Amino acid sequence: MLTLRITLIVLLLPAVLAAQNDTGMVIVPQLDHADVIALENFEAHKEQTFDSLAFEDPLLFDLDDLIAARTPVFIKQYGNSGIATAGFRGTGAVHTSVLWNGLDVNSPTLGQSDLNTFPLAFSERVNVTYGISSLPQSSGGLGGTISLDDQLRFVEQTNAKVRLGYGSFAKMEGMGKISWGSERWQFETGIFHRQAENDFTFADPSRVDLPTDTMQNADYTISGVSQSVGFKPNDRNIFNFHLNATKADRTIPGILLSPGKYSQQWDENVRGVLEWKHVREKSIHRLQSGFTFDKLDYQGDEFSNTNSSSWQSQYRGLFLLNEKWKLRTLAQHRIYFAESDGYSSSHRQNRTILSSTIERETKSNRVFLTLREERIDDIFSPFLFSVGAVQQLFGGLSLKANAGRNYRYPAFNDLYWNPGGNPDLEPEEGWSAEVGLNWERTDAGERTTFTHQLGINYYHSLIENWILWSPKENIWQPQNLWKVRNRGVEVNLSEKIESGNWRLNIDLQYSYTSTENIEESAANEGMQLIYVPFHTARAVANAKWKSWTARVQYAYNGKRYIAADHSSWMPFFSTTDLSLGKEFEIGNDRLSCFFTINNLLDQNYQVMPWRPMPGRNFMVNLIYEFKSGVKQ
Amino acid sequence: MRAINFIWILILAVAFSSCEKDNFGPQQEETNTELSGTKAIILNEGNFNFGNASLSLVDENGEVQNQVFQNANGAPLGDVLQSGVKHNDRFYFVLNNSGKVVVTDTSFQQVGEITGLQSPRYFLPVGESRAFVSDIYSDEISVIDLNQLTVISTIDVGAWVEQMTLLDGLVYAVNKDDNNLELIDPEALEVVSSIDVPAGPSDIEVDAFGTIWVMCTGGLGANEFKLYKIDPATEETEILEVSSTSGFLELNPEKDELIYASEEEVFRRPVNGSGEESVFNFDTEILVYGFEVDPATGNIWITDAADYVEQGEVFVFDEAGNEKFSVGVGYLPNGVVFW
Repeated sequence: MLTLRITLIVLLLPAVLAAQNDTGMVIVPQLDHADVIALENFEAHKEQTFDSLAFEDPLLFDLDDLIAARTPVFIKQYGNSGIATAGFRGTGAVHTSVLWNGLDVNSPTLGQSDLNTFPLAFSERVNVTYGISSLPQSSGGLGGTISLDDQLRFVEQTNAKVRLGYGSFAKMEGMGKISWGSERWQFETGIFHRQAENDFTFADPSRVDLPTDTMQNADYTISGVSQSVGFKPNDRNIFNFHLNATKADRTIPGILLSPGKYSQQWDENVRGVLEWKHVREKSIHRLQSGFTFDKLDYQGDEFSNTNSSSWQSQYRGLFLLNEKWKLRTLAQHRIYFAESDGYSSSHRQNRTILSSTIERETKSNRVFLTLREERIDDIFSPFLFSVGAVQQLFGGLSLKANAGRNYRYPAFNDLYWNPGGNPDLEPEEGWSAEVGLNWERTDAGERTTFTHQLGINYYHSLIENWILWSPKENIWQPQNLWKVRNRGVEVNLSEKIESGNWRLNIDLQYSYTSTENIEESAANEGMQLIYVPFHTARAVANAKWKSWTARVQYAYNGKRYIAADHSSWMPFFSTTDLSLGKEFEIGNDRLSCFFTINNLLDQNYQVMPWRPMPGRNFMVNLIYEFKSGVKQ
Repeated sequence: MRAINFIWILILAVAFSSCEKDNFGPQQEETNTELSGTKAIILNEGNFNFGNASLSLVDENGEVQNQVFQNANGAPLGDVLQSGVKHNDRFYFVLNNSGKVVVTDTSFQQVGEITGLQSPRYFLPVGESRAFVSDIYSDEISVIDLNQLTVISTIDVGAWVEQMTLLDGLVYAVNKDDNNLELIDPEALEVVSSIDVPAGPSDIEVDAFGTIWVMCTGGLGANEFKLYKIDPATEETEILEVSSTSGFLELNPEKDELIYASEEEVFRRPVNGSGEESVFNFDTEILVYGFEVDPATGNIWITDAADYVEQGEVFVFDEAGNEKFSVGVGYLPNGVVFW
């Protein structure tokens, strides 16, 4: 039965190759051409894409800043410098798949990523995909997928960008990127550094009369380098190599009720990937091979060390069958390895993944079907699929629908942690369906142009065999305990207004999330899961007048229960950040100066219990762009 | 200008949502019940790093007041309430992850605290104004002056020490790392000798005849429960098989019977008799997180931590095993202080 499934997928491939003789469109034989890049992107049911933000937006430095402020995803922030993890649509951090240039970079031991260790400086493009529509990229993202990509442009250029910043609590940040090369060779070197004492003052609600106290033991240093090399011998072939390494040294303070306690965490992450892209008349082929290496040392009351690594290779193909039909294929092999003080021995895992997406697109509609099968060591995944359609209606309206089945294999810690690890865990299985309505319209007047975009999305999903660590025979053990139903509505509205010297962008997002365990007779049956806010809202306004810019971002996160029986909770919090900037043209170069006020309204808040966040604080940034020598 | 309207809407939205608020830490449901008669204090350990340790008061009719410390002091108790002791009209509450012992009067008003402890576990008064505090990580027992509420000395034990008991002028301290009892002279403040015990010592009691009993679990995850009998005079020892699966060991009010529990059954064993007998069975849904016998009435109190992420319950049975009442308390109740 399983073999049959696999064979079916594989059999699709030769069928495609035969079909290539059909007449139809031909790919522009230039790999870094915008059309080709667009063709390669698979448009998901719900996604958000952010391009080269790091050198433009002083409010954003790392992935944690971006996801918390610009997406409805709730970030669990363990204090101002600590670990930050993302939970999409009421799911947990382990249900967020994180990809870097196509490699799975979630820690194989924890099955999740700390977004604080991903600087935006290195990634030209960040794509956030929600729910089942992430399946064509990766499995396991039952909540969603965050994908970071570097992109090289093969143009004659010598281009450099530098961003420097200094702010409250001795926060210093800097990043730089140099790109130089020709139509044949490209080199890009990046560097970043951020550090802070983080000794902010806060009102302490754990003591009578809310005394003001100063945060201690919260300092951090995080830095990294990146190197990309691209070689384009001709228009049909590109070779790219990307490497990045980051190192973080963070002191993590205890909660307010354990004053003076702190732990120390050292992370080292190195990732590299080599790829060959080859374009033919009706197909694009991409062959990749890369590695990840993660080291995590932790000193709490006791010391622990975890090392993990992976070797991941993949082939991705895109075939234009005819004017309407496209086929995407993916074959991956991943080897994960981990050793930890928490395991009685080191562990290794082999994953083989085959996936195909067939897509039919006309001017008014698009339908697609993805089939995916994975083998982990000797275990076959359930048969995974995603099916979707987009129909253009009238007046800029379009209707979308997407449904499918996804799964998540337990992380190494779930399987092997000593004591408690449970090698008999079943993978989590998710079923999901969503439907969305989108409206877009541009009103171009004589002086003023308005662009409106409104999207409403409803999703419904069920995750069976939800893995939960709970006490059994006096030991915490992970078990497949829950059946979790996630339902929600996401609304987003964006307005772009251009008028003379004015540019105004406004982006509003609201989401309602209902996530409950529906396992019968469970104590928390039918109750919202802990740490999932029902309501989140985001607003970003970006105004530009001549060389002046102003940005305001606002984030609201509603009440979250912190006990399964709803007997305790964290109240809502909201933050507002404001940044004002001015640009100066200096010859071909450009200098931008920014003044930023974070937590403008000086709100006292905690994201996680008894971990205070800073009040109003300030930052000054300079961004310098050397643009000499760029030939378009 | 539509652009201007948008900006105003945004400003109003921000202003509206930013009303000043004092409640920005964790919040809890409040209860307010009148109590009567004899009361017992439930020690709600709380979750590690949640700061939700608390005290509940339960009276003889099964009425409960939760958040007793918070209500009396206007501030939370701390993180991970490991144990508590009453001594000379004062209560001493050991807050493990707060690294301190909170001292209150009998109306639960805080009168002081003992700080500077690393990871304290148990508190044993060893004289009118002196107490020992054991610790997981410091490899020391801290010696406390109860008048000054300061650490005046430490005793190097070189290991993780848990429960302690005082017998004939010697402190017997359970050493979890080395599976033995450390015998400590509370005057000289030094370890004088040690007695090996089976793996995983988890509780210690001294019966009416001065015999020491140690419950042993077999070690983390081993579940090989043994009862170890030590005659301190002759140093004779004996290993007994038990049906216990919970690690707790209690005595009846006369101190001539041992009482302990599995996950579904309570047993008693006369200290001078031959074997154990079942007292009663209880609901297997109960997660036995604390097990205490009231030294005045002989009532058996089982504290249930539910699934650890919601509030627990206390089940009270009489000596014969008839359920008297059950009542909802705080998070992870792990013990009872009778007074």
